[in-house]
Amino acid sequence: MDGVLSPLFSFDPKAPTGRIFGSKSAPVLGDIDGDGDADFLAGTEGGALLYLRDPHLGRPADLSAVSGTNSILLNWAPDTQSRLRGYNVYRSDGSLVTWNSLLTDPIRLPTYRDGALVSGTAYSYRVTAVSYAYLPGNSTPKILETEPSDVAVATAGKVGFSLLGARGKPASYVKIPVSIQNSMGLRGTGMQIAITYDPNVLVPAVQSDASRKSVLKTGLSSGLEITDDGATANGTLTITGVSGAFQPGEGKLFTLVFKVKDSAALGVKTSVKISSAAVGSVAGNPQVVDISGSMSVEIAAIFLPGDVNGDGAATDADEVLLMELTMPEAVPTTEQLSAGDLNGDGKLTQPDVVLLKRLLEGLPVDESN
Amino acid sequence: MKTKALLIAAIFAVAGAHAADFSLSVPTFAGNPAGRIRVPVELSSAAGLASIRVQVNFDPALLVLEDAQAGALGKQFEFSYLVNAGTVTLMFVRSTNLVSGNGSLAELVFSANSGATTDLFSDLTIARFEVGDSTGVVDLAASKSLQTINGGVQISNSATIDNRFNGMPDAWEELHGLNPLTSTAMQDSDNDGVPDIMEFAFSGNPRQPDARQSQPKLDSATIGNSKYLTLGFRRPVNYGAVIYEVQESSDLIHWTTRSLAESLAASPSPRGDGTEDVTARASQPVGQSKKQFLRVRLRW
Repeated sequence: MDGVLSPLFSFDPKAPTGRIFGSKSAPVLGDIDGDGDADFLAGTEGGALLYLRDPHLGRPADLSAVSGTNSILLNWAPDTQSRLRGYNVYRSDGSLVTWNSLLTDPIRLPTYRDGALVSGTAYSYRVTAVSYAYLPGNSTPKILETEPSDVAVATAGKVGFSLLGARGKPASYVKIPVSIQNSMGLRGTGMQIAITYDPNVLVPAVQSDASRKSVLKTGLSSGLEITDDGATANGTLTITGVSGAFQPGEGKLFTLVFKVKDSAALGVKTSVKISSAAVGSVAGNPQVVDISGSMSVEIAAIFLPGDVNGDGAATDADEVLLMELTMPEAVPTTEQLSAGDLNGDGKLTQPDVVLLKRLLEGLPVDESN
Repeated sequence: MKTKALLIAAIFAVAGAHAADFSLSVPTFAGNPAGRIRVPVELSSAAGLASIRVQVNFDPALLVLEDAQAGALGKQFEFSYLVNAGTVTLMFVRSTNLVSGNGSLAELVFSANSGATTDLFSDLTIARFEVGDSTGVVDLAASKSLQTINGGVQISNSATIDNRFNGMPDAWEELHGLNPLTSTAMQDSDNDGVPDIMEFAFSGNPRQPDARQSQPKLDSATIGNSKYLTLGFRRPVNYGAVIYEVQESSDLIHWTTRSLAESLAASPSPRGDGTEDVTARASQPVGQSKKQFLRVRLRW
């Protein structure tokens, strides 16, 4: 708003309250939006409308829907209002006309797993926040529901894999995370993931040092029995599941360990990508696999996982910075995200701080290698 | 019968609160306008956890968050927090899974708006509760149940708010540097041999070894034509939930208990500083028995 607006009205404490304000020539003070708070409505000389109301009651934001084997996981940003009672979750089968409530009572936390879905079907979701207010003279609260959130869509029976970027020094080992969006309900038997790389720049770790593994398991894959062909691979590394089940979660499923060749030139970006993947549910149903692009390993002089501040070492200072970057509204740089996202979920969150603490204390963050 | 019914209700409430694997709760406490209110954030179990994240929403028009401190359980983690308009985000991390533990994760230290009136209430709503283990990737919520129990702050004009029912008003504890959430009636903060509840009840200072000054003093007084053994002490005008009783004996073995009201030698005499002088007397004049002993018993 530019300049100073002269108020057309002066504040009149005797102004009537309520919703009938269209013909008033005085500002109105009342519960205009029906949320139990006093709102203020007035006009300006320039014809603008001033409308002050409770800023906290808002529709849910940042709704995301992540596909799983036969479920879809929803997450959204928590509301900031103290009178929040919970959330209602609505689902549409795709028409976006009919929305069915999935809950009999609002849920309190901003996450919901919709289960028993038909594999291969796309579902749309939206969420509302529910709060309550005690209006004057009433002992029972007035229940209020916000406008619905933006729509989020996901397809059941779909599994998303991705590789995250990394940097590696010549003659050193580089770790490349293979991540999964939602590992719930998947089994190891029949799993196969093929990763292509440039053998002129990278070699699987076991080929450089027979005591090293080329594929490390993480918390999500700790219950799997797997094999890999790192010892003989030449451009394609294949991971094969033998048995076991995935732990439920999101993030790093495996860590690939390559050695950067001595001859690799600084600044070179070498492509690494998942060329194919197959995985089945615990019930034995094959899943549709969604592979998110390719990534590159940048050959750089200095890089350490956990070196969030880029000073060449992972230290307590990085932990402090990483903790700050996990706070609400923090916006990390690409470099900070790359160095700090130790659990491979594409975000900087508290679990990354846990893993950085482990790194600093010499505790394993993957299988020991 | 009524007591039994209350006990049964309490048992069900406790059972319900612990049905979840991880139950996070905030109680409803009372607070004075412009007063400080400490509210605990409590977790039923932190076994197997390496990270916890909590968001509590409050009404910023009524409450100001002065500070957030790690509780006894929270001190097992590295703790940090962030305050935004009407919300506080609490974060706890450690490098390994906690083997076991429960109790106070954090203490939220609020001050209430000085203009708040007694009909005002702020919900304390747990809007976010996330837990993680040391793998950093496993979704514990997929296999464990999480529960939240919300609380609030009710504004009250009572001068003797005692949210933890330890017998000592929270404001008195704060004034003397005691933590109303963790201090107990029988602790002796200044090691002078006088429990803190007695320091309060007899207007002592729990931070200064002043046992002699604050102890009831034996004396005698003539009432009517008779001389009585008396016991004088100073106490707060607002003594809250403390109940004073006078006990007398002739052999230090068998004691007879009377209420203070029955035993007063005269009406309490206010000092004008929030305390008053009280004198209790024996039920029988001196000389009717060979020996007389008087003492004060406190209950709360």
